[in-house]
Amino acid sequence: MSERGWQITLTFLAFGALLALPAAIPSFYASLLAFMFTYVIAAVGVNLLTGYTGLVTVGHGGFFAIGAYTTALMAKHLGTSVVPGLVAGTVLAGIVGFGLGIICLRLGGAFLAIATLGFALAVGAVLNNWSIFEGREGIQLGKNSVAGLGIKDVGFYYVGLAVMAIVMLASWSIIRSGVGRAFVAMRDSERAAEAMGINLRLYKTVAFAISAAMTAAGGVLFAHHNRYVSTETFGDTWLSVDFLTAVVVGGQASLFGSALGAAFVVMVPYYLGELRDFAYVLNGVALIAVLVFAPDGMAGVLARLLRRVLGRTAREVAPVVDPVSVGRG
Amino acid sequence: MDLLSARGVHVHFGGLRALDGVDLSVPPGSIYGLIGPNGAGKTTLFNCISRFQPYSAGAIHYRGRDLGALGPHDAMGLGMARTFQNINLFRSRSTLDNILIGMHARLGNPLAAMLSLPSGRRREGALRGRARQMAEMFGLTDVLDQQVVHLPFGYQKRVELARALASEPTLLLLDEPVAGCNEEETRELCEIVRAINRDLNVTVLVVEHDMSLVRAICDEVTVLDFGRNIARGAPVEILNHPAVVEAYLGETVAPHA
Ligand SMILES: Nc1ncnc2c1ncn2[C@@H]1O[C@H](COP(=O)(O)OP(=O)(O)O)[C@@H](O)[C@H]1O
Ligand SMILES: [Mg+2]
Repeated sequence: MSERGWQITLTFLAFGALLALPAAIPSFYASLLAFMFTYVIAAVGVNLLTGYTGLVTVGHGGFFAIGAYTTALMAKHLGTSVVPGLVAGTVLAGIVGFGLGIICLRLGGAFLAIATLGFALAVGAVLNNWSIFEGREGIQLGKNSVAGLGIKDVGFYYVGLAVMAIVMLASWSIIRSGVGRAFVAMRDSERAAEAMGINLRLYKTVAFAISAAMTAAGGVLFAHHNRYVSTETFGDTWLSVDFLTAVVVGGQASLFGSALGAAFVVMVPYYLGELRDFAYVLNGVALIAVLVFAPDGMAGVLARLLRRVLGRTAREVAPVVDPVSVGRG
Repeated sequence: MDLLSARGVHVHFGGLRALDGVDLSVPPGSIYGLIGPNGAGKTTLFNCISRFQPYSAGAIHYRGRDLGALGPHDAMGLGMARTFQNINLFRSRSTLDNILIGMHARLGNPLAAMLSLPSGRRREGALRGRARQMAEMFGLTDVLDQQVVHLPFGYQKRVELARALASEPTLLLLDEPVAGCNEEETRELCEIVRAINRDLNVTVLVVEHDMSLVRAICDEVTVLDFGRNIARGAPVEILNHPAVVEAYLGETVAPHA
């Protein structure tokens, strides 16, 4: 079987396992996994922008918050639940993302990272100071339902799994299309991309918008999962840092990597229990280790292992002239 | 009518007049040379044409259309394609992907592409087929799936050419295509450029420093020095033109091969 064949097979197996899993685990674990799905969704959004398009964002916690508060306010004032929140939250975040994309057009590298961080800080400040958001008091959300039917932990698990599957499928479809090629082209060389007819302004802002909308979908689910939002969670920039950490540690420009990375940043603090603050240190160590030893992240390491198991060398190519670069494919 | 014409183009970098009222006219169907010593302003004019460089005065027309207000990404859509003086590939991508990105102007509806709608998939299939043909034409079939960064120099040059031609341009702009090539690679590239011109019916504007290439392939040349036109004509006349010999003084005019 080809490498691509293996990828597809493993993806189906993984989703099959996730479909069957709730039957085999206590509903408490289903709930924990659903929580992880919200991070995976957010990380996939960040990956589209940072991993594929090369625009580093340290501010996507802001879009996550936009999703979460959109659905929380709708739940409070309109009595809606998950699905209307998903629609409104992703659309609103997409629009804000488009705007932020325009503002950040001329920025790259560290300047872009700082500008997006500023965005997350601004969102936090708004949430803290504008009374409709209820600051530290927070907003309670009612019982979750889909199409009028109440759902509990396991039901919510399947909602999360479905949204995660949709977001991943959408990302996959975008990435393998000419639009996704244009994103990667901008990352590799803006000048050459322009010469190929790629409108940098348009494609960068579109990447921002799509990425923001995806991450916001994670935020909507997060709000319904906890049934509570407050600036305790959304008032600072830790979410933004978590998402970027997930993408880098998991593997940039890899959807599977985003899932691995999100699992890492969710599960490590969970299993540390009382010592959860120590997770910040572990995340930092993981970041540095990945950047120094395996820039393609956990997914890259696993892919190399898989290739070795399949009995192939890492690169089955004849003439290697420049072995220096590390592929990010 | 000329396919491409520039009239009185001025570009200043601070106090430096990189282009000081330059004219250029490229007839359709030709292989046209833009030559001159280092620092003459060739790349600057090239960048004005491909819209990477704004100019402060003058006008550039392509098929009668004023390019002044257009951006770099518009050039491809009009039927111009360019390469870079130093190879500028999408390094993390495969040969096939590089060629496919060169077809960006033919992507069609981006939404249909992104969502893998039937029309998008059909278009994608057609593009891939065409990209494979391009690869075959340039002898790249064996390295289709290899990351371009791992290819030898000569291959990378050909990937860049294939990528530029993938959009099926009317005018191909080449900036020093044989820079860094050895004699054999130079001969090979000359052959390829001639074939592109003859078989694909593509007009070629080639910026070149190397006279052997100019002599071998150009129908006509314009010579720049210090941002001004100093001569224009067939390569054989130009190489003996006193002003050109003077401009190249201290450099080898005669082909070293
Ligand atoms: N971006 C720039 N900023 C300042 N000076 C430049 C820039 N680009 C080119 N120049 C100067 O303009 C002149 C013409 O350069 P160029 O067009 O690259 O020459 P050529 O391609 O003929 O060797 C040179 O003196 C060069 O140093
Ligand atoms: Mg030059």
